[in-house]
Amino acid sequence: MDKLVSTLALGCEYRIGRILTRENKMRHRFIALGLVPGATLTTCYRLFRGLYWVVSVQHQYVGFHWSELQMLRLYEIAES
Amino acid sequence: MRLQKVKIVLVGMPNVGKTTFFNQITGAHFKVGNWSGVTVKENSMCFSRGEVTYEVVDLPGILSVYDDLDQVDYAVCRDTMAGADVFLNIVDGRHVQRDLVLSLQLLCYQIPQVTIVTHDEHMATDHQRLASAFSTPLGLASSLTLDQVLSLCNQAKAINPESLIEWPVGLQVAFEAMPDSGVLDKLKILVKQENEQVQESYDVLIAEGFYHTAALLIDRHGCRQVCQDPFKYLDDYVLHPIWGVPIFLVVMYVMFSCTIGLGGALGEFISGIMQLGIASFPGNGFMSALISAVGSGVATGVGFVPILVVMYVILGFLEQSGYLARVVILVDGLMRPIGLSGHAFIPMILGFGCNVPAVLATRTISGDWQRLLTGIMLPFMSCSARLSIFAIFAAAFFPGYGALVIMLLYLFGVFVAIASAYVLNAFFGDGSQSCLSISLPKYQYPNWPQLKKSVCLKVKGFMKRTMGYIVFFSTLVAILGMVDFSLQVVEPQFSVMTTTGKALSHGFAFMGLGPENWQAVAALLSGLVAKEIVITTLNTLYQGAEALSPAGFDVLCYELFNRLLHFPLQVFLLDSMGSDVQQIYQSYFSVQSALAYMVFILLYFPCVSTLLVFKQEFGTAWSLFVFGWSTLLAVGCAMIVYGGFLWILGVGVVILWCVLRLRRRYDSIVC
Repeated sequence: MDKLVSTLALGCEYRIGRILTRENKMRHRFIALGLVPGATLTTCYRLFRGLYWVVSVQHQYVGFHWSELQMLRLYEIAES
Repeated sequence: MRLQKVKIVLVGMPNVGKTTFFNQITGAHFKVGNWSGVTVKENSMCFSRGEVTYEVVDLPGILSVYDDLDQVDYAVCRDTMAGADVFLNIVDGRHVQRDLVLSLQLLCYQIPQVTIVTHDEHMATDHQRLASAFSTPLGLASSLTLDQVLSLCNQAKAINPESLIEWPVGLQVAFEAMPDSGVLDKLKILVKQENEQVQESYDVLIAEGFYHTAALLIDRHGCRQVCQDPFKYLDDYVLHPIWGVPIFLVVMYVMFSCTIGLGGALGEFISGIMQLGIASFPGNGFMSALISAVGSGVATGVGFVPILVVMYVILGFLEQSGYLARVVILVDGLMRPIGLSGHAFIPMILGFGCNVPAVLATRTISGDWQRLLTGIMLPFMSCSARLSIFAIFAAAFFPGYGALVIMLLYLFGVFVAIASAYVLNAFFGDGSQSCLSISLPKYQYPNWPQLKKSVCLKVKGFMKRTMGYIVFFSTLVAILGMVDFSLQVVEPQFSVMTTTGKALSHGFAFMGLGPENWQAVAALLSGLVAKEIVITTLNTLYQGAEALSPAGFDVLCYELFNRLLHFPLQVFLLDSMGSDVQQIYQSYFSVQSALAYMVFILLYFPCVSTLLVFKQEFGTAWSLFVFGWSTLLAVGCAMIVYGGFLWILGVGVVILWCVLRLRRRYDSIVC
């Protein structure tokens, strides 16, 4: 079973569970970038002591501030 | 007989190549770049074929058609899309599945649609299978002409979205409960509603419907992409936790060094040759003085061209390569304390070229206050016109450190912009924070023919705009330097220009300008119209006072050769020429007053074109505010710079305060 995570590790794959924020602007931005529940993201680069992350989602790189990634419920994908 | 009009609208996700394709089929030369948000307003061209007139419209990129992202460019898109007859849906072959989501959303408009695939070399499928996946006529961008596109448009038919999209059950129930209207209208209503019945909100259910259908179609038709990014390794350095920022600073430094080192050498050579030609003009008297003044102004203006060419080429290279989007992440931390995100930095970098497109580029920034704040910061970004002034002053007063001084001036401009935004945000800000989330494009080689065209157009625009001003102002300055208020020809010391300049110069004593250097004050006033003419006005006025003998052709060639020979190793040397002009500057300014003058020019009121665009985007009140605010800061900073030690103390205190403040903010965010 996938494990709910609160911190990210570099080079790991995560599944998006829910979008936690209720703010429409952010929700729609996540959705438009392909960060929808069920999608997977992989952490590729970590900058400034984890303040910024570049993740791969839907075959593209997307840069985030850590506070924005906290608006997603992420599960570490269990190895089968 | 009545002419039929067909409106073809190019729609697609940001940075998929809409404007590149538009330029390809229409022969236009609109700006392209490798980051989201290059196009900020609609561009259109009309073509007639028989009785039909086709209007082809290029739009800014859009992420989705039903959400309420509050960007100005999105509003432009939605208004135009509603009146379209055919959609040209541009899809990037490097991420078809993502773009197919928007294609499915476009079906909800019930408007005929044609799919155009850019970067099709990255697709591992044949043309027919791809067309089946999109359910629309399809063309590959690389091989299409305008007539082929029009032919595809004539084949296009509207498709019922219900027949293709597989909605989640929760959404189907909601649709049935709603009054009978179009799918798009239903989506727009539901996306704003909470869902009490099922676990997920409607916006997520809608997204699930689109993403799920896109994945199914891609799987069913075997359109998996085979995109390998050959430059992926670059991100290991560019986004490196330690090397990322130093690499950015080096890139900026190389840009200024090449601009000044290479462009400056060529510019001075060309300007010198023209001065030689003017000096050989025979005659003595009013007409001769006039020709000399105008010719000198034009020679100075033409001398800027190589500087601009080098700068535009490097900026164009950065824009097309995909590096600018990475810079957004690197500088986000700098912008966050003032309520902005790194997105605001792209207009700032564009402002190094010209403030006018930079102000327009703020349309991609979400949030009214954030957009306005970014706009207010832009006039402090030193544009290429100011660069020409700095190049002359830096060469005259800081030989050996010219490029360094210029780069420090640019950084000072950025610092003042951020500091003033901090102050304004504290007083007028709404406390909201821009989000970063930015899609990073894949690196690509710049398209050299396109870059060449773009640079040529910019230089042509500069020459057209500036030469008119230069000729007009050089003539005006020369005439006013020869006549008195009763329009009688008099000795230069009794002329309108001298009398007025001396009277005004008392007000500029705070930066070391007095009646003996009234020419500098007159030049500042001419800069109200356009910054390019400050240096030509100065040259015209100084050369009227001093008899100049331009360097010979052999000297010019030797110095050009010498500078080019040393170029890569000594790009920072600006002690070129030792020309008479630079000696004259040294006789009118002290080092401190020259530095104060440069700082004043860096910050004082933006040119008329920038103010007009600012007024169009943000209204009269804010444009007047920018006028006053920038001038106030210019006076203050020039005063501090001329004040010597006080300056070091003041800047030290401000930097310390900012560092402590940023540190505290940083720690609170990390915690």
